[in-house]
Amino acid sequence: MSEIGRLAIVLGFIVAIWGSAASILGGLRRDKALVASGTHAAYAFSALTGIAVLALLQLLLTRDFNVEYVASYSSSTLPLWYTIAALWGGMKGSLLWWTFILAVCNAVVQVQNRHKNRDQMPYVTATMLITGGFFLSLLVFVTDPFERLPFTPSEGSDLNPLLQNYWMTIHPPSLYIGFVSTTVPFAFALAALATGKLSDAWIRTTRRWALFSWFFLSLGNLFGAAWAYVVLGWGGYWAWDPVENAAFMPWLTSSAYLHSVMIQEKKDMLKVWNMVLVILTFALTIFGTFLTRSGVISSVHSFTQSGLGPFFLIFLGIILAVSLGLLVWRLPMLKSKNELESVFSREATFLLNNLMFVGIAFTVFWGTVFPVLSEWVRGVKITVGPPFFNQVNAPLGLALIFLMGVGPVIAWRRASWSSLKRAFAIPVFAGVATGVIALVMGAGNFYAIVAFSISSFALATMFTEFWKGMRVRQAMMGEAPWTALSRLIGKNRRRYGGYIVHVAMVMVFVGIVASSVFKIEKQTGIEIGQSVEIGGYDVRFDGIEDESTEHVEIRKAKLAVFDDGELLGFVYPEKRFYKKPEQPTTEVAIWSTIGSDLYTVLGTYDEASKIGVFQLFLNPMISWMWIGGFVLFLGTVVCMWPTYAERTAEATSRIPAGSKTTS
Amino acid sequence: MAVTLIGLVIVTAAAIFIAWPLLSGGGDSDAPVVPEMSALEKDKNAALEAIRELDFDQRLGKISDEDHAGLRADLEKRAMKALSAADAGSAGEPGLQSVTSHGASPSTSNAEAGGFCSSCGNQFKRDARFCVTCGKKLLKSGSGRGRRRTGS
Repeated sequence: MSEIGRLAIVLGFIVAIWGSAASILGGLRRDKALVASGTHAAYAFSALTGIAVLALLQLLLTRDFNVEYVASYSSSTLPLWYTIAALWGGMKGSLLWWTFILAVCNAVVQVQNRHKNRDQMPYVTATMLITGGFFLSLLVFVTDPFERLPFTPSEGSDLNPLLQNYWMTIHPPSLYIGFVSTTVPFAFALAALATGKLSDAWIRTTRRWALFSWFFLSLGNLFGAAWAYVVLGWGGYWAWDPVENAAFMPWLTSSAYLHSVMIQEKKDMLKVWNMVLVILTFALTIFGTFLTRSGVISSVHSFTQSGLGPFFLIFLGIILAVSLGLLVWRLPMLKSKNELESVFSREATFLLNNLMFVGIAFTVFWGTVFPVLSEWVRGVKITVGPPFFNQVNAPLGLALIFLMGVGPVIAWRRASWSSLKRAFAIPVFAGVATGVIALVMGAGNFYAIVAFSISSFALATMFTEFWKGMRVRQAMMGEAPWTALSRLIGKNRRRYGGYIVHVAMVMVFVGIVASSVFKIEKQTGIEIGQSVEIGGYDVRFDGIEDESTEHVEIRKAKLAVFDDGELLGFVYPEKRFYKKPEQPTTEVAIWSTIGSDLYTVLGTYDEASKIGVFQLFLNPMISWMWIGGFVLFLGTVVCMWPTYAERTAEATSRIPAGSKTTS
Repeated sequence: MAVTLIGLVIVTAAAIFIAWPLLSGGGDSDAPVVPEMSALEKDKNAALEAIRELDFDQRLGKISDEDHAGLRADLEKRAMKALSAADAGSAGEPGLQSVTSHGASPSTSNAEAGGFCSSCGNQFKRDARFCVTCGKKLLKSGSGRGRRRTGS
């Protein structure tokens, strides 16, 4: 099977070269046969990477330890789920998985555009095949996932225990889908630059893709945070680790793009800026891959380190040179037709919002690469810690939430003072009231009070938008409230779906603020039968249970959780000792409510004195982040759902040319 | 042996599939192509969309009546300009015809134009009673400015 897999990647690499060359040549010479051959190459590329993935999966499932990858990342006792997840558990497999997702995206793009954008498609195909070909070239020439060992070990060295967690099956795929699908808007942007068809056709074509990749980047980040929270056992979910930053930066530029693109569609402004954002987002995903795999920066993700760094850096350089070169060449064609009329307008809030996003992205970028730069230049490695990121980004984040409350109610072009007063009366009242309540309830932290107050201001704006819109429809159409609300959303999915996403972001923001400002932490020894108080909860240590399987040894503590003397339930924090490789891990146990998480970690247990050492955290409102994730999903679905006009247009495009429609 | 065979099949299949368009001379060249929306059509749609949003913003109280009237006049001018230009050049603009054909009838010209559906923004004929795109009932408002309200 490894021979088939090897053949598939070698052939896939050749096909990618042929396909991109044929596409570019066909596009330049307007040779339809060449272009069609390029399209077929794109489909063949998907099939071949699919075969390679299946081959690797087959080797993993049959536990063929003669294959180096299988021996390194699985074992005979690894459960089925994690054996499948081992596909992306190691560097080689994750590169193959990455290429496969890209190939699938490419095939979908080919199908979607088989009857349209025909002038641009050759360049889209070429861009995607070159990117895919680059990834395959690493597998073909540098690090072969199908490499065989000169001997067959009797047992594999198993998947890193930190990865043996259910998040492993969802976090990497969602983040990869988010990373990889940014290639689609990038490819269309390049095609627009190459063909000179710079109207907003490329933007409309890739609108859903941009949202799709943004959504998966959001999920990937959120899932990563959730994973870190339950696995790393330090009570938090985000540490401004370089790899977290690597995933966060494209999310920021992609968020900026989703906003600024509306200005281009409505006002024909910011054309160059949007190109830059799309190019930057894609470049940042490659940069992120470089960070993760080069080992230049130490990180919690060290399990994917390799010597591939220079290759990614070269590829990144080529991407930037080509795309920015094309952009400069086309600059004269990208002039704006309109100008900003007033600073009190929705356009202006959009511009500010873009500045914030890019400002945060730049801060994160700087903080991430500064240690490397300082080491290169001065030979001293300086670490940039969370305080730097928090100090700079917290005010920018606050400003973003504030804009979220301002943008939707302010009019396009220019807003009058009287309309501003009317629009902001309720939100400002809500914001101030929340601030006062927070103060009265004893939230002594200035930042937190401001954050809650601004969040409540933004939420109030969002709700009044829905409320007023619903009332207007009721009055205009004589509809019942629920009908009016659902039609209001249905008629303008992007706007109201966007608002739902904003509500989700406020929830995540509030969760972040509350859990970082009001966190309570306690490290303490508890004797069996004794209890300890933390943030209103009483935690009683009831005893230790030991379990053993051939895969892992588990030491489990039983903790009873009381609130006001009433038993709520039990949590079981664990220490695990994996046998292959021999490695201890900590399994936290969480008592989670909407108000707070009681987060328990078992440190050590002394048999003689019967004392267990625990780390206990009380993390307020952290579940808001995860609930926010669901709301975000809901909002994205509302945005992406095709409108009636789009559905009919799609149906019409399926009817072959020449046949008559009856309407 | 089996592996060699499978490998051969994969290589041959890929080669034939990719070379096919070159051998058959043109490949998918006969595939129907949905014409791209013309710039004028896009202009018109953008203006109509902006009008709908502007009207709604006015009802929500986000914009003063005075600003609303001024902005709306601009947008109406833009939509009408795009429309008349599109009709004037419709002989050389196959794209516009086929795009509008799944909405209003391709022969809809300015003379026959009744206005734009306020529900979906599509242009309708003067004698139309229902919008052909979204099926909304079109009520004559008698304003004579080419825009009718739907519903009550």
